[in-house]
Amino acid sequence: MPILNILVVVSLAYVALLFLVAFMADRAALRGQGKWLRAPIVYTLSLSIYCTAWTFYGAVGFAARSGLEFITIYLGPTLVMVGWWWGLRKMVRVGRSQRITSIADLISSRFGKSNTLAVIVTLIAVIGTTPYIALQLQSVTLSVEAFAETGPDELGGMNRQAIALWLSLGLALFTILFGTRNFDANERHHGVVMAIALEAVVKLFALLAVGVFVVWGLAGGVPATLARIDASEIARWNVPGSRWIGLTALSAAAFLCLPRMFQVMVVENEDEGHLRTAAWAFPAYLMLMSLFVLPIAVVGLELLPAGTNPDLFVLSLPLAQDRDGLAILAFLGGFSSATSMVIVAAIALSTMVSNHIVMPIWLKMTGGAAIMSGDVRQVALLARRLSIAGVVLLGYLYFQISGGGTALAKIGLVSFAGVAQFLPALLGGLFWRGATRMGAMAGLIIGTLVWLYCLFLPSFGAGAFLPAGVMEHGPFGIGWLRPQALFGAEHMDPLVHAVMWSISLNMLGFVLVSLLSFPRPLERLQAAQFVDVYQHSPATGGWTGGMAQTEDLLIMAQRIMGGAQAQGFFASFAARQGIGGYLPEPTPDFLQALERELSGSVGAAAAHAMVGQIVGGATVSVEDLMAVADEAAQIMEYSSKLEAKSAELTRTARQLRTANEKLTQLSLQKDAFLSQVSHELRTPMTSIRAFSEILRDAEGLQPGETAKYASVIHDEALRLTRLLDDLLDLSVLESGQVSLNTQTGRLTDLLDRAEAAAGGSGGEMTILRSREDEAVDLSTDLDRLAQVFINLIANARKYCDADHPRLRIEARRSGDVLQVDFIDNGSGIPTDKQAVIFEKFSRVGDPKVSGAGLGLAICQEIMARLGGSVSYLPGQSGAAFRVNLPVSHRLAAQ
Amino acid sequence: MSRRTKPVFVGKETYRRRRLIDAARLLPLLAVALMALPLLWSGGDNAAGLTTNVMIYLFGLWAVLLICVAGISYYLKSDAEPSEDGDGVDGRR
Repeated sequence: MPILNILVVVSLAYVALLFLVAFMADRAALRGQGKWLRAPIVYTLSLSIYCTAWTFYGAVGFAARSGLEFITIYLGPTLVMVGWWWGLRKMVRVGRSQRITSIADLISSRFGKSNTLAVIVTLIAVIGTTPYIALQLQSVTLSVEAFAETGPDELGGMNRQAIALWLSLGLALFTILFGTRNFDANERHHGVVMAIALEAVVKLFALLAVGVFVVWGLAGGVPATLARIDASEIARWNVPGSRWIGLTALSAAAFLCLPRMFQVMVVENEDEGHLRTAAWAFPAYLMLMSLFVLPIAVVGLELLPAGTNPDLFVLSLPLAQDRDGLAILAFLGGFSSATSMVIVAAIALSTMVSNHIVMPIWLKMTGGAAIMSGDVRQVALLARRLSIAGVVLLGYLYFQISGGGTALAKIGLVSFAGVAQFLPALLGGLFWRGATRMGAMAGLIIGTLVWLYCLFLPSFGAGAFLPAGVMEHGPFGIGWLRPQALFGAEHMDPLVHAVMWSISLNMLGFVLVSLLSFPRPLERLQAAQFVDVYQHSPATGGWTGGMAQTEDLLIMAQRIMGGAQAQGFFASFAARQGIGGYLPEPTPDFLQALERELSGSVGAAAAHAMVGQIVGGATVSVEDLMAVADEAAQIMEYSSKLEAKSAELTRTARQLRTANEKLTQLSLQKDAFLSQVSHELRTPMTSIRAFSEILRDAEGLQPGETAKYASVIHDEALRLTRLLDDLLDLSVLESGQVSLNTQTGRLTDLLDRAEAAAGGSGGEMTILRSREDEAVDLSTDLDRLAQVFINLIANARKYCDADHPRLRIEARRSGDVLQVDFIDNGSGIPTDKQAVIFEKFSRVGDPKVSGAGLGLAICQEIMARLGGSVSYLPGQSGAAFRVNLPVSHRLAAQ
Repeated sequence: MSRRTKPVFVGKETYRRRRLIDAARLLPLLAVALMALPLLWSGGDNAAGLTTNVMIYLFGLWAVLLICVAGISYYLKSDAEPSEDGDGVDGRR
């Protein structure tokens, strides 16, 4: 069986295994099983996507060309991991507490959730990553070709384009299958991570196997290998210092900034504690990966015919020695490196592209209607899947257009330099509160332009994109603008030159513009959240989206708006969405309404921040929000309580004042009454005594005189009796011992009776009545009611001081209440007296008029017994009294 | 920010932990210096300027770094973080 066929079969079996592992891991995670999925070692292994095919194959080529310099690519990440307490820890903490989905998301979130910034970062990432994906495709096709070269024309119809195409399709399929299982981009892709961890083991094992074979199988042991290195053309250690330091710094920066690294390091991070393991385990992995690079390179240079591509030594050495099994293993290692890189890069880029470019455009195009009706989740998922396909396709196209030439080999470091432009904004955002959005934008744009001009475009060779004239003499002949000798920096390594200028100018722009610009409120809020992340967030936490979000919103709203009101608001919205219960879908419409509702309680800015923080990612924990809400609610409650209390106090004070006035007046009245009553009692008593003495002592009285004196005594005794009767009547009424004698009658008759009893229409007084209005049937104690009417008419007769006294009696129905007004045309009762006229013993007006001041008090008591009232009606032409009497239902129905 | 005065002296465990954090912070700086060290050897014809020597030195350094980081990380357990960021600010409520 030809080796190529075996290779295809083994590769397919390997791919099937990867699918299976990813599938099983996803299923285990779904069932909540598989603690091993969350082991720190899995996290560490997933970081190994840093070692792509470019490092797997290319490191040896790198070493064959320039010796130990290749190791800088591994030293940079090692430094980052060793210094995890500085940077990575904070990045991971921020990523978790802010529910960051990508590096574009991180930078945009930090700088006030600016989408413009996210778009810029996304574009740079795509520009920087696409050639890198092409590089992976190239490495696989090259390695297949290496196998094909061993046999005569075995490649058959399969050319490198076809291989690259099939590989791209397979990778896109795998990524879409396992990379977009869940909607939440912040959730872990257990399947993908497990597959990557497996691939990490395979590539390490493959490289170690080749290394062991080379050192002990070909070179003859460690000392012999060292001797061969000393004898080789790379024996001398003469790495330029600028390159050594520059490349180490560049790879460290890229390690932090590469979208795919950010994906596995921050987004897929399960537990911050995993960093403690990765801090030593990942450098160990890198050390093992680079351990045999130099021996393989040296032995390859020695044994293989000149002209062999040193980038493929890992593969061609075993092949040349007819170790087909080892060669296939090495192929699988390279294959693993390539595929895992493409998969994660595609996930990371697709998240960025769909979240920051496709979705905003789609939402803008479809307008608000789409948010209301369409299923945004499905659209987002579709966008992410299409983006994955798009990213892989871009890589493929780049591969095809560039023709897979050697220009690609250099692209690894070029790509590193591109994504390293994120570093100032990233670190500045994490550690400097003064960094602003404008600054970040300025730095990114300047850095990227310099990178494009000095490194990316020239990397295609003079004349490809930049004319040779520009390369040599600068644009328009301006020498100090030459792409590879900017500002006169000649004789520098082009890569170090470009990195130095792009990062320096990037930083300069970033810092200067940050210092000069003023951040928006949201930026400042986010700045505090990011820079002081340890003060703001616990190590673990975060909550899932969907309904839980709405519930959080409800909890918060209840604390601000009050339970019943919040529940009512939520329930009505849920009903409007056609959902039962209290939890509506958190649609933008609902959120906007809720925000508005909340802003009534806590102000618009706070409401925006609160809703935004619950919905748009967890900038602070729910507990923090609740504390804020509680405080606000408490303060509001307290102040409203205070307000109520002070209003109550004012009211009480007013009442007290009124009561005091009343008491004072009553006391005065009582004094007056006492003198009045003693006068009233004494006058008849004096008469009675005088006349009874006359009757007793005087002799020879005329019979007429005797009768006259006796009748005077009789009249006075009657007056006394009446006074005492009134007092008795009142005390009976007040004590509630009166029994009512309910009868049915007509108001007209009753008023007629009262008018007659009070002295008729005769005398000076005219009584005006409207008999039609009075045709009302009553069912009450008619005698008592008549007593009230008599009293009121008699009062008018007694007190009306007009020249032509007139009393108007008006009756009307107002709802269930019968109103009878008695209005005379006198001068009325002064306001200060109105309060006391219903009091006992109160006497208002002409003191000459007889009366004990008990009439109105009795009227009031009677009306209270009958279920009605009598009150003084101010604002009429004279004294006016209104009698209110409820009309019983039975009668009202007639 | 609370104006509570911080204690001038801390318990022995907290003190150890803070020094460990110091170590974790200083280690990368030391690593940078040590990684740049071979640059001094290039040039001349002396034995130190051989690739193999630098290689052995670098892998040795790598191994020592690993052990140091592993040790520091092991004792820097994330439980009970009394002095977040090392400056003793009690940020948690």
